Amino acid sequence: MRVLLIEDHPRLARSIVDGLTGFGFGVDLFSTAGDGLAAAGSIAYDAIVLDLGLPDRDGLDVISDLREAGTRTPVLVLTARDGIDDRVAGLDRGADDYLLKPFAMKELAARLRALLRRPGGPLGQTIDIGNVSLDSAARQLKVGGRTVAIPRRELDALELLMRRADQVVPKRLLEDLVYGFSDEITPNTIEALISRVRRRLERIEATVAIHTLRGVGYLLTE
Amino acid sequence: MSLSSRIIGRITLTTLLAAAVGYGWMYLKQSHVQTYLRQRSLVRQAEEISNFISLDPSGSVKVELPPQLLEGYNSPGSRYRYAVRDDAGRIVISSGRRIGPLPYFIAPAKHHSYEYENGEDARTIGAAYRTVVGQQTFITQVEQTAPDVQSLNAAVFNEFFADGGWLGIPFLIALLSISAFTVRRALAPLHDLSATAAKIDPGNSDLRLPRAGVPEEILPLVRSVNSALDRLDEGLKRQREFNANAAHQLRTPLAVLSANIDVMKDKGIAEKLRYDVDLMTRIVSQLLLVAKLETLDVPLDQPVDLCAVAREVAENLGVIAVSGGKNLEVEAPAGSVLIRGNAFVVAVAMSNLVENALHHTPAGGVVRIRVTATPSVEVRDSGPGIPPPMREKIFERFWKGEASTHGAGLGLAIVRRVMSAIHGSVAISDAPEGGAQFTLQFERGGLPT
Repeated sequence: MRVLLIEDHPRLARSIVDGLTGFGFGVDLFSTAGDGLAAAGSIAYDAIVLDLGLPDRDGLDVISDLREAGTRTPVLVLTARDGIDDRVAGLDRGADDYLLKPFAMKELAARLRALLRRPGGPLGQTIDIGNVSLDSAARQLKVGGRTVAIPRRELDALELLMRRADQVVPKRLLEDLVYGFSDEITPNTIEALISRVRRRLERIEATVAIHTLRGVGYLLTE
Repeated sequence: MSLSSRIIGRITLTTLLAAAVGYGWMYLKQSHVQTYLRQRSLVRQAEEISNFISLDPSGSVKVELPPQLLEGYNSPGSRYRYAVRDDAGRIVISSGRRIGPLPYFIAPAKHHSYEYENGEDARTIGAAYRTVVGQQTFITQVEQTAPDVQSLNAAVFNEFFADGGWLGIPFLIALLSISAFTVRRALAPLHDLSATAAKIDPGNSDLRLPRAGVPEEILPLVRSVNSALDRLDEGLKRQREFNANAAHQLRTPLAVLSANIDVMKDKGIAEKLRYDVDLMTRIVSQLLLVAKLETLDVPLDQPVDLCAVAREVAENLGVIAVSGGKNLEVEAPAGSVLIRGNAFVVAVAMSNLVENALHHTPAGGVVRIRVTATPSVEVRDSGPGIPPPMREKIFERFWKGEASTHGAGLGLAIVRRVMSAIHGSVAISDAPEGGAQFTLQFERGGLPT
């Protein structure tokens, strides 16, 4: 996975490069918006990590420029500015995720992977977590290399949880994406579905676990 | 002493003084006129008596006063007395009562007036009149014991009062009520001023004293106070900006530190450092929020759905809960529970409570966020609970500088600040199933659901 990092703070940049390299990413570093945009225009990166506080340009404008130039690469914004308005502004300009400084490298890696696991992303077709591999195009689930038969809706739910591994997936999102808006569902429908998925994964000794946050949603971890 | 009572006191004093001076002046004038008139009449009386002086053929002096005239001098209670003296000063004839010595006469004058005090403290006024009868010169003396001063004063005062002196009283009353009214009206804007001044605190340091209706004499004070407030406000703003900037500036070095820890080879040391960096990160974030709240950098009158905020908080903290082997639950009514506030600050308050609850809950325990339509939010943990004596202190620990083991002190202090900023409150009780329960109570009727 090749990531473009645009960050002007030399020591922070160095550490992020080292950290992400440790998580298996290949990182190209540029310290100005101009250089970064030029790089993004010439190489097809899998993701862009962008610091909002750059010396030559406002980071928010960099996102706009990227999107106007037709770059669809997911952008993860790093910023020292908190507050909901800054976050909304970043996401409005076309950023895909937002991480407040300081952050744990594990968190950055997990967020990047979640971006890459999006449908159409480089990790989006076949999602591998632990010994579980889900091919979203072929609608096929493999655990420990063995193909496992799984009903459509269980696969849909598992796909969603795997794409967002290590993040809480709201129950409502599952309802909407697995059942759509037209289907009649009761409050227990999702709970019943998830417990069927969970039992199936346990039976076949999958190394992922689905945690329930009652009234909130579900969380898949390795 | 109040301004109005001072003004009323002084006006009363001035009026009384003016009345006294007027009265005194009139008294002096009156008594002078009276003495003058009395002396004139005594001179006439002396002249009248002297008209009756005659010499009989033998040359001896005869004074035959008509009876009606005699009665005036001889009646027992009479204040008048007379004497006729020859040119040697010997009394030729008199009304019998003691009469004063012959006054010194300047030669050409026909008459002379005088007054003296006799032994009994009574003032006597007198007049002497010189006549020539035949070849002899006679001096007729008439004296009168003057009425005593007190009865004279009383008479004069009565006269003064009857002649319009009484007008002073309604005048004084009118003057006082007009003064009191004017003072009160003029000072009324000061009540508005003090009401405004009472509202000024660090939370709304942009308030200024109103200048409308303030008397010109007080305007300079209002202007100086307002410009003093401007300077204080400026200082306060700079202080808050400094706090916000300082916290903000700390984020980048903390990010460097955090990133460096993550790539350290020695995972054991990294683990320990990570704990401290996380703590510092939390404190910096919370300080930034305090600065934001104090600079009123966040609008606090927006509709907030407590159910949505509770779920968002749980989604964000779910990973921490699960990685610690703890359960995090949200119990909320279907639909929404709306309040007026700010979703960001309410989320921070709720996050702080949930993080605190997760910290005190052992692995396998449950942290429950319960939203009610009251509207309130309860955060329950399955930790050891908080004993009642600690409950009040726990919110103030950070500001008092008492050490906190995991940075919760500032977090809870912020919960209280946020709640007071949006007119709510936070309380601690025992959770029904043991553990602590924090209840955020929001203002009722903020918005229709």
